[in-house]
Amino acid sequence: MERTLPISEEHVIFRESLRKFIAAEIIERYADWEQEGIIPREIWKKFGENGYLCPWASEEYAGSGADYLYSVIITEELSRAGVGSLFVPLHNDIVAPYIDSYGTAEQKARWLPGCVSGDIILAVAMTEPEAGSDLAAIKTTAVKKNGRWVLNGQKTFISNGILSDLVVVAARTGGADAPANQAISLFVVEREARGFSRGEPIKKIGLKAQDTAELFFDDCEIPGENLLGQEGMGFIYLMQKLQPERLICAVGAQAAAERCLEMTVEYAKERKLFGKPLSKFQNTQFVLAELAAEIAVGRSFVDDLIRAHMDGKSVMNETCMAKFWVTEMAKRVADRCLQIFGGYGYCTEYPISRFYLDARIQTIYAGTSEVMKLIIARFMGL
Amino acid sequence: MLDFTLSESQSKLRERARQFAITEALPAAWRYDEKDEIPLEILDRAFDAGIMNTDIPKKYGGLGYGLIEGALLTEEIAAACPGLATSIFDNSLGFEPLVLSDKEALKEKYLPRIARDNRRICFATSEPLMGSDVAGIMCRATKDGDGYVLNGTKYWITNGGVADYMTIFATVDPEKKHAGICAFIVEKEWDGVRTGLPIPKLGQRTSNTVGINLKNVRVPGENVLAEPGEGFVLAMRTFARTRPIIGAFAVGAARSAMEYALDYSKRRRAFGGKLSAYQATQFKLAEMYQKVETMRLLVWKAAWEADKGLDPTISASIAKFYATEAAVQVINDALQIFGGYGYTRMYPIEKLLRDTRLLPIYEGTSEVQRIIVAGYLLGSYTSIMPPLDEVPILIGGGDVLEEGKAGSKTAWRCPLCGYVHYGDEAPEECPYCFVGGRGFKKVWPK
Ligand SMILES: Cc1cc2nc3c(=O)[nH]c(=O)nc-3n(C[C@H](O)[C@H](O)[C@H](O)COP(=O)(O)OP(=O)(O)OC[C@H]3O[C@@H](n4cnc5c(N)ncnc54)[C@H](O)[C@@H]3O)c2cc1C
Ligand SMILES: Cc1cc2nc3c(=O)[nH]c(=O)nc-3n(C[C@H](O)[C@H](O)[C@H](O)COP(=O)(O)OP(=O)(O)OC[C@H]3O[C@@H](n4cnc5c(N)ncnc54)[C@H](O)[C@@H]3O)c2cc1C
Repeated sequence: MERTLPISEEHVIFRESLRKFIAAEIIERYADWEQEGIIPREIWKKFGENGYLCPWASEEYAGSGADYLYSVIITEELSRAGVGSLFVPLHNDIVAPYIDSYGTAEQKARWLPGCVSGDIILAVAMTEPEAGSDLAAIKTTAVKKNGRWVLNGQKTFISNGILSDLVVVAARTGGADAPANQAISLFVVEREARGFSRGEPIKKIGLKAQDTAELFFDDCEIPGENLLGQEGMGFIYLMQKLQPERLICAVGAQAAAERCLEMTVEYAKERKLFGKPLSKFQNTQFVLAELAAEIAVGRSFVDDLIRAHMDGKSVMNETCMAKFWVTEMAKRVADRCLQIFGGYGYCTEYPISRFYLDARIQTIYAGTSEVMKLIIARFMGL
Repeated sequence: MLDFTLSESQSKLRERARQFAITEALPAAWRYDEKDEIPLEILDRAFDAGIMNTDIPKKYGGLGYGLIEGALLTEEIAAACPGLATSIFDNSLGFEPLVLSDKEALKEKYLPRIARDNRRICFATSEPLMGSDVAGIMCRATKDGDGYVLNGTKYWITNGGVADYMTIFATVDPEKKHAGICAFIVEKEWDGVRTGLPIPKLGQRTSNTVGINLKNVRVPGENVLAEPGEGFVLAMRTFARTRPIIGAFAVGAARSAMEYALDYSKRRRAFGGKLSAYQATQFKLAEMYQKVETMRLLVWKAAWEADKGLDPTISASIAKFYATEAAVQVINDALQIFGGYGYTRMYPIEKLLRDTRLLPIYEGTSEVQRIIVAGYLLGSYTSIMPPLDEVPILIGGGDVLEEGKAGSKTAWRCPLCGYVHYGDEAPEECPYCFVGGRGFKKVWPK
């Protein structure tokens, strides 16, 4: 079925060239990066050179003023290629928008061009060792001293944690007892900031080339003008940006599921057993048919939300549903596809094993499935 | 008589395995997982501790334990490290065909060496182009005097790189399918035997998995384990005894994931409460435990059948596919309870997930188990309920069950549409579907 989005010829060409770029620059080297647990900076630079970083940024900041579909395409292609550790979507569609939406003209001029070129890599640090789902419980503090901010605390699970040059950090500016929606502020911490350090990349079951790390702020001093937006508004800002953040998770998970199915269909046609192709057994056909149906349902839903989001509608509740349902679906799809690959599915030489492991995080980060359900229930007035 | 009590020696064995699991296996698991290497010295210690090769008959120097003991012990090892459970248990898979065979001289030659001298033996049916379809083996055995010459490649062979002996399944002619399958005991040192590099895999990295290449390997007549036509059955009889053990791996892995999640949920707080205080967590835990318990029951039932001398094939398949699939679910739920930490190597769940994902694949995939169980049901299962056309669905007939009441007490059932007719005779034809009365069956009184 053709997608219902307003896809122009330019979008198609963009997707084609991005796909070629990923094939040429990433696929073959990716296994090495998984070993090393990090992706070289030069790749980010190349993404920038080719216009794949923050394409939506206005021309004033060296961007191309592109519509949201370009972001969607970038996320989809990275997911489809199975190189989900490259957290360009986080940079493009989760972190940079904070600067774009809440930054001053001066801040934008200072940082956005670097975000577009790849000279600046972004991260966002909300989670702490003892505050994940419950963001209101963060303990990192920021105190104003002589016109500068002093941060103290620890963040964990920060994607792009090692590579990042700028980190948007959520910290408490109100007292420990102040309600979260008045007590948290966002700060931009630069690489060189004094008192800012990072741990080793955290070893994980999947997303192996993703440099997820702990960040430490030890009397970390940043200039007064590195406050992002208004003091005390951080929690509200975070909530405002959750819709695009969760939508992009669903977009990526959906694309990964589609790719899993394609690979598995191909494999099932090639693999012969009991004298016929695996695809000729009814069980294989029914499993793949079930997955195809689930994927089709996901596709309509995700595309509807992409369109609603592009139209500027508020679809917070539906986006939570999509984040929950599509990521769970993608996990199920990867699992059932791996099973069809049999012993080969268990060998890391076959990409399906990587899809399987990478899919597992999707129902946890950017709000777990349970947190999505809490929100959906709240929308239902429960 | 039905009794779940363990004997004293079984309890002691389990205690010993538990000790070993916690003190030896657990601390080594992650180190070797990271190195992607089989911990041979731990295998040696398992051998010394008497938790390996437990099912070699006493007559050949073994402990002579049954499958119940095997299940008890492997559950404990798998709880610590499912990969290590594979490595330790693989010997039993390797020598099981020999134990099951009637080759007395071969048994006397090899079993004592395995039991006493810590020799290792692996099991090889799979090939690069064939896993599920065991009758589709292509590795070739050509008759040569009283023995055979082997040529071909076996793939994914657990312990292949570290075993001294190999139980190799081959065929005299792939066209012959089942009738061509034969089996041999091959020694690693023989000319023409080569093993490949360890295959990189998602989990079970504390077990060794390799390809074995056989090039003009001459097998003397005395090392023929199964003649052509006997190999397939021998492989299937072997699986009927090893599949409950794979189920026990699943029980162990799931149990430890559940225990870790239980522990974590009592420590971790979110939104002002412990995770354990939320119903979403509690219900997940309850389902995990329900699965662990059902898994174990099925495994024990299959093992018990084997120990009783019954044919455990069907129970083994049921136990294997239920337990291994349930374990993956349990571990996935546990990982979810751990949130972001579950995804990292800092907590034990991710390795359990990686290791356990193999279980529904090897020793016959879940699909193959379903094929076996369906084949049994459709082929030889005997139903207890009466055939459908004899089921006394006595609707609309008044008081036929009450003796002595007026009216007829005989009920007839239409074979096609199920209409029930009351009367001394069947009707001329069915008033609903017009089928002739002769087809009606008397369903009441019996
Ligand atoms: C690879 C990776 C990358 C990440 N990247 C980033 C990043 O770039 N920036 C960042 O800030 N964070 C990041 N995170 C953190 C991630 O967003 C958190 O892990 C996630 O929000 C869950 O928090 P937690 O791990 O503390 O789990 P917890 O909040 O401790 O939750 C544990 C479990 O309890 C459940 N639970 C919680 N509350 C309830 C309730 N009320 N009722 C029922 N169940 C409940 C959860 O759903 C979960 O299953 C990343 C994590 C990983 C693993
Ligand atoms: C780590 C590891 C260790 C192993 N150890 C050993 C070992 O020690 N010795 C050994 O001999 N082998 C071993 N194996 C091989 C293992 O037993 C096979 O991988 C397994 O039997 C599946 O075979 P396959 O991979 O060829 O899958 P295939 O047979 O190609 O199956 C592919 C898919 O098709 C499904 N399928 C198969 N037949 C049908 C059907 N009729 N109808 C519907 N669906 C069907 C399967 O269930 C599977 O989902 C090991 C494998 C691994 C990964």
